[in-house]
Amino acid sequence: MKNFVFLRTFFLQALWNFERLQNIGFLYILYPVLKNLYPDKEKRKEVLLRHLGFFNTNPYMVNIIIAMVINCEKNIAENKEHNLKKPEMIKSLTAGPVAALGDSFFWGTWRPFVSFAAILMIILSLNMFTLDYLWVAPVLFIVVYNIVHLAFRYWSLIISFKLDEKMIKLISKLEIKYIGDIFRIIGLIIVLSAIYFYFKIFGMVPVLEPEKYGFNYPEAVMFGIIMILSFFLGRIKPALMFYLAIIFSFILGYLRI
Amino acid sequence: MEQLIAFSLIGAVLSADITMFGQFMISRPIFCGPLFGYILGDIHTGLWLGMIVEMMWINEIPMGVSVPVDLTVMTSTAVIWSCHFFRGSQEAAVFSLAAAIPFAYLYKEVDLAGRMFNTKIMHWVEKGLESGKERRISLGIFLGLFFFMLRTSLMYFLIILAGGLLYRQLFSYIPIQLFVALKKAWYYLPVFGFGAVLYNFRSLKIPFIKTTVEKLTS
Repeated sequence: MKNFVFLRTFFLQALWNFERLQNIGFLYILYPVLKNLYPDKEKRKEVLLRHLGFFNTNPYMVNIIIAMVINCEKNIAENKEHNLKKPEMIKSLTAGPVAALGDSFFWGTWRPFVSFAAILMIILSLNMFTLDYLWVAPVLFIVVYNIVHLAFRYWSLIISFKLDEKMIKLISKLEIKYIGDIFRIIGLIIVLSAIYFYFKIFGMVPVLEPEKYGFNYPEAVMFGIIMILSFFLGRIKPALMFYLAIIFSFILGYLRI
Repeated sequence: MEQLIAFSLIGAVLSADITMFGQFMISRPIFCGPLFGYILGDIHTGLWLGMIVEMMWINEIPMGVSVPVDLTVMTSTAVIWSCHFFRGSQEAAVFSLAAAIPFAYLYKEVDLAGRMFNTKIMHWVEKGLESGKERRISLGIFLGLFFFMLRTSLMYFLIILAGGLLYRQLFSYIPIQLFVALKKAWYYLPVFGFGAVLYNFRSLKIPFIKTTVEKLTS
């Protein structure tokens, strides 16, 4: 049953809607369990309708909430728990905090970290490998990212079934912010390495032939100016920055720099 | 035509990864760019464009109710156009990305409309449950996925076909100065990307060193 629930969690957002966000997806994950717990159809109808309210969390962290809600529903079905509102309370009280952890770690730290590593690999592989091995960096990006992602999702489901509400304590003790800081520092080192190799490979030789245009500033200097410029333009929309980059290149081309 | 249909379906599957199913990150530009490049025999262009988009749009992820611009559509169509029409041309690759950005915003609007439609399916499921039709839970999920795949693959089909023809025509008319600019932009855009990535680290202080020292000494 746990494996079945695990597979269904991938469909959490399949019917994502603006009114109640992930409500049907959550019910879809829960449904086989509720069907077992409540064989009586009328009783089950009440329970199913109870779970149709607003729900939204990080999809990677939903397994923690699912396990806690299943444990609670089991207790209600076995008359160990009499507060029928408790599953809803668990959902509404835990969804926000665990989503914040998931967003900041997986999407704010882990994904950029693996992306930076892949970008460094791409820059190195363009210089070092033949075209036959260029697929390695994107494939490694997916494999490395998902080893951690899938392992966490499965582990969090299994351990949450065992620990129930104590899981929240465990998560808070994991010091995800501290782990995130370490990854961000390593990520910064990777980015700086990528910049170094990029400048080394493409920055020290003129991109266009100097004799054709009379003179040429060292591209490394130009790259440095661009990078500082784009750093300060960081707040603007990426699409706008992209077009500004094209205009900037156009001006440089026009000025024959 | 078979290739166009295949690309539309592959694109829809990749886009589904953003919110609809899994979130395995196969939708990220750094993966989908090289994938289409590999299929079309020019992985180098795919990697380069994927790398540029990945860096410049590093913070574009669906959080809460926000619907970000679809980077998968942007990267995939740019790679498909440039590799199909002007394989190996760096200028054409940069131009394809510039041309693909408006289409990604157009797709976002379609996606928003699709999510509005999902609300109707959700109410249909709710009504069904009230009258004891439990099968509607699975059907609702299936319909959500089905309509997503339908509208996304149709959008890919139209963007690749109509946008591609427009792109090819426009590229043949660009002036020489812009041609030089696009050539330069091929090397400058990753540097702009590095700047955008470094901007992400602006809030990074080094408290972790302090924490580590405190942990080691305690």
